[in-house]
Amino acid sequence: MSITLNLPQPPHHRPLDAPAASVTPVAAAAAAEAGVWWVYQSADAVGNHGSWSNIVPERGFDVLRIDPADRTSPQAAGGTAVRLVFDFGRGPWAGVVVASEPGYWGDRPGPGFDLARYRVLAFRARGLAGGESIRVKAAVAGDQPFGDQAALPVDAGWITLGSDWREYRIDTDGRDLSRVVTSFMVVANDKHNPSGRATVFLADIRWETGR
Amino acid sequence: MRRRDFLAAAAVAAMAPRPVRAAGSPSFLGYLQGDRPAMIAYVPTGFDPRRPPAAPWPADALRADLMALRPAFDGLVLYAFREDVTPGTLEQAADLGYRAVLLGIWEPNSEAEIAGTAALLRRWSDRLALAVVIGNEGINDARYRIEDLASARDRLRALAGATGAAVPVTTSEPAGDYGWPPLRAFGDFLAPNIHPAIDQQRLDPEAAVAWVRARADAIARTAGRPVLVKETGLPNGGGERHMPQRQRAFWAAWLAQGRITRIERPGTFVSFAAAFEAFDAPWKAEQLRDPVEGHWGLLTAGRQPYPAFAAWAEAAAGR
Repeated sequence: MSITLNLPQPPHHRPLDAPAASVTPVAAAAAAEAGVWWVYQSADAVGNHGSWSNIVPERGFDVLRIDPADRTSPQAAGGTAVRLVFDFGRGPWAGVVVASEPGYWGDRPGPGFDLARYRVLAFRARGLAGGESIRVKAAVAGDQPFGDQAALPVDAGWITLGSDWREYRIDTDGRDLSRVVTSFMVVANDKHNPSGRATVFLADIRWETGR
Repeated sequence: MRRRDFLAAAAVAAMAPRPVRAAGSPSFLGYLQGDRPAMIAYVPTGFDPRRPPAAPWPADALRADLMALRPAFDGLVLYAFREDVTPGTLEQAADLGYRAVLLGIWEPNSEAEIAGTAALLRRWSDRLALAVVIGNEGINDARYRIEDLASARDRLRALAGATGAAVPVTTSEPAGDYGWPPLRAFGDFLAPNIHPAIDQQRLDPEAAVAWVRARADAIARTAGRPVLVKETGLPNGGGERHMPQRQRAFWAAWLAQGRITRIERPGTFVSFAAAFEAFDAPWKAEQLRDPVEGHWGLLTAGRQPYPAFAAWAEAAAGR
């Protein structure tokens, strides 16, 4: 299965030059054996899964810019990070969902991942200034007929980031992850970021079998 | 706190007697499971929370509001304690035969709201089936933290007296946030706001009803706790797709499916007994800069019913 880091490009959205990454069965099997399933290891990693394509709300493109191959935060272990820049002067909130294929929400038959054996969603994050607040979820499309098997999302609640890289781990809380179409989501709003802007870096986003 | 101290405190807390509802006092959760409960989110017509409290809100205005609602509803959902409004609202509600009130505390860190609500519990819990919703979407809006809700609950119970302390409490956040375990763990029942007009705008009214019910069911099954859908509905205007007939179609489909679903876990159910909201609120459209926000009423700001109100009135009359 070929997985790309492409984003939809409506006319008002700048094109992205993120490298496409493909997943080979060998790489996927090796990662699975190690107890890790990568959403984002680094921009060009072969083990990445999903597409950073689903922007919310519909006009979220006005608020949120995404660079999936940022190199300005050099402490990212894989060498790159996903950089999210929120401008709440353009709207009160926005977010991005990593979908099993670009634009897919589970409203029709489509691909999903079996993550039933994984117990923890882990990632590293930092804010540009420190103090930025984000909310991280996964399996958010449980309300769709072909969506996530979990009826409610995995949800970390609001997280206030430091300016240094920190590791976050979210217990999956017994969710049924036998079909996952939205393997990672991050949202932010103006109320939690009263300065009106937030720049956030994410790296090493993965599902793990252990706690 | 050291682990040993924590365990000792936990043991003491476990041994402490739980508040017990006084014999004969009406039960809020019992009301939700009883005969045709019908609650409506209520803010007085002409009220604007941006204006500071002044003299008590006119009793005749409150009475006129609640009389207009009474043919369809026998319960109220409130959002805040205001000394100028809330005590008078309960006076009129009790006098007009309302059976239940979900009291609201808008700001969990407000001692005045907590103390005022405790006073209402002491006064009315022998006549009205009461519960308290502490906060409304304030975690999502960064107005307070979940820890503040627990503090407010404890303070409320300390002030409410033996009867009032047994009144169930809850909080309310958008349905999509109930994956967060601390939110599901708070309170005696869950009270999500589930708005298809915001989250599923393309659904027709019947499909919107099915979507809301499925969301509530998922929350109840995951939490294993009672759920009251505290806010749902469709607006009557303010946007291209929003029309009075669509609002009526939503509520007709809603009521046709019953007001309670029992989940196969002890004490777990979903109540569909609450409607959002009583009267159009122009101040809200202005404050939130969204015309839809002024058009959620089942009645106009002048107390004239939209077609949706008839759906609830007919259901109340058993037609």
